Amino acid sequence: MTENKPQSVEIDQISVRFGDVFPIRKLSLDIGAGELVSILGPSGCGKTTTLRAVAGFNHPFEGDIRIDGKSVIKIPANARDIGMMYQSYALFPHKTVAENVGFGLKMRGLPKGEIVARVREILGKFQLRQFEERLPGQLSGGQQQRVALARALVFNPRVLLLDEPLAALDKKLRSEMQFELKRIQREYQITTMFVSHDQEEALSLSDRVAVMANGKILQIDTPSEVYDRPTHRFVADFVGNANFLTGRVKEGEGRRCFELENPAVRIQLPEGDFPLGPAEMMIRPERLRLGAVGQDNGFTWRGKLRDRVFLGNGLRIMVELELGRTVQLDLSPEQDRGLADKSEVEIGCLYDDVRIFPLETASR
Amino acid sequence: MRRDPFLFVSIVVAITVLGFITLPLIIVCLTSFNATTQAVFPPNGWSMRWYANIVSVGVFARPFQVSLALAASCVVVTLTIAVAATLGLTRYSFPGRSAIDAAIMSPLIVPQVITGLAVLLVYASIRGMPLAYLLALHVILTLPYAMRVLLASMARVGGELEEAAISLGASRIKAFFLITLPQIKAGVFAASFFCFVISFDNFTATAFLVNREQTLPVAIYGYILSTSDPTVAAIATLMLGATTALVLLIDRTIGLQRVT
Repeated sequence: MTENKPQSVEIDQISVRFGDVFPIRKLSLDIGAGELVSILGPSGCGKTTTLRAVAGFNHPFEGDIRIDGKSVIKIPANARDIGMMYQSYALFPHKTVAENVGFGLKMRGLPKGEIVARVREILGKFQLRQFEERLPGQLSGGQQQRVALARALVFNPRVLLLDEPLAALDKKLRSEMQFELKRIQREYQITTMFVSHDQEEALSLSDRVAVMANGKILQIDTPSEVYDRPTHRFVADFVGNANFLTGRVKEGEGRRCFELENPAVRIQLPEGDFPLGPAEMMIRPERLRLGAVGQDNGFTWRGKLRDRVFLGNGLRIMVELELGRTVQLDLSPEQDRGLADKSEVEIGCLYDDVRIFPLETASR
Repeated sequence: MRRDPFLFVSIVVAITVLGFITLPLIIVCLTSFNATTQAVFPPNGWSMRWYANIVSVGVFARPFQVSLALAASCVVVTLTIAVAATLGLTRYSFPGRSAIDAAIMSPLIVPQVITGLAVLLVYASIRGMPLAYLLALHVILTLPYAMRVLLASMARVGGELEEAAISLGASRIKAFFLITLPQIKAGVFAASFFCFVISFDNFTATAFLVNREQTLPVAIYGYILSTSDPTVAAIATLMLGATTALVLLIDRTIGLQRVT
């Protein structure tokens, strides 16, 4: 168990340049002490560059990175005291499990006896004691991952960085490791930052998720906020599934409304600040429901069931609306009963479940 | 079982080719045990006298030492340069990177006669220690071979292991010696072996720089210009034996397929 208190990380307006390319520009991200924050984004969005900047492997030409309030930007990577776990695990193939885990302690010049004791302790905690004399190549993927994590944690680093921590595991092992990683992070109370392109991984593990695209962070919030109240069309599209319908925001009676084109259908918008003009309406497939809803709370559409996909824990159906658009709905297994193909259905949606994105930001 | 005519032809071709490669070596071996003073085949009788003659004729001992020392120093110098250059070429991208790559590889394409002549011209204009120039020449000749082997093995390692070591607190130098070097160990062995052999038996380019201190291949050439007894065949047989032993040793210790 670490005696160090958790430390905050502040990334302050950093920009990184590789030749003519700027993978990240003026990026800021604050991570509270002991917090687990993920950077979620498609490949090439700059998330790994950000992680490597914190680790000290690339050098921002402007901005600052502070750990526990003190700038680390001039400290070389090998003196930053940061634990890093790679997607490939990067275990040293010619060294045993014990030598791999003890490497960080050895580099810190600790006496042999203490290294052995601390390596044994953490290997015991990670259920790896019986493998200490094995080489990494003789371990399963899950075991290799635990070795990599133990190696990154054993020297009590100030911050833990994880690069796509679960990507290399198969699906079943991945969901086990999600809980395991979270438990370990809590136990060590270590400030953790990880990057992922897998929304499930990011949403399930993180205290907060930062969604990133084109070198910028678009939204940083709790997983449920990012999912339910995305601030950008990109976020809505990248995290989870979404129905998008184009139209425009207009003045209505009292409140503003969203008007679909061709045929013109008006949907009352809830109270709030919606800019007038072309916009897209986003509704999550699981927020749409079968059956009408009251006019005070939402709106009802009619349509025909076109197609269905079995998801295991539910059902996704495609409904062609009378107004000429097709939307996806996610249903629970009970709702499936009595739904024949091409049957007429009513779809309801609550105003609260609708998000509006002005088209100007959508096109950028 | 039916006979496959294609298989039959393949076997005949294979045996012919293998015979073509190995037969001259076998003939050299047999000739070295010849009892007569003429290096003729088939031998007219058997004797070990030419092996004794290698020593007693007195002209090979010094060139053998020179070649041995030269090849050993060449391995050390070439491998040091090659490992550093490989690291630079694989880990960093910088302007002129491909030009440096091409320059290192160029002795493979430039005829050795020209390389030898070029070093001779430099030598003639500056003067200095002849053996140092010979060493420089052999480093030039062996560097591309060492680089090719090392680049191939370095490509398999990648920079991530080294980086992981640095994140764990290792300095760049420690990360290289503790993590990367053990990964390319087989490549380093293979490159050393190639360098040693290429340096030890180079004649074409070496002949330009040799005057007072001869290397073994040049001494052999000088010897057969005046004498045609099987002493040279005996030397060749010994060299063949040593090389074979070395290859077998490498195969037993680190495995030939890991080397090539």
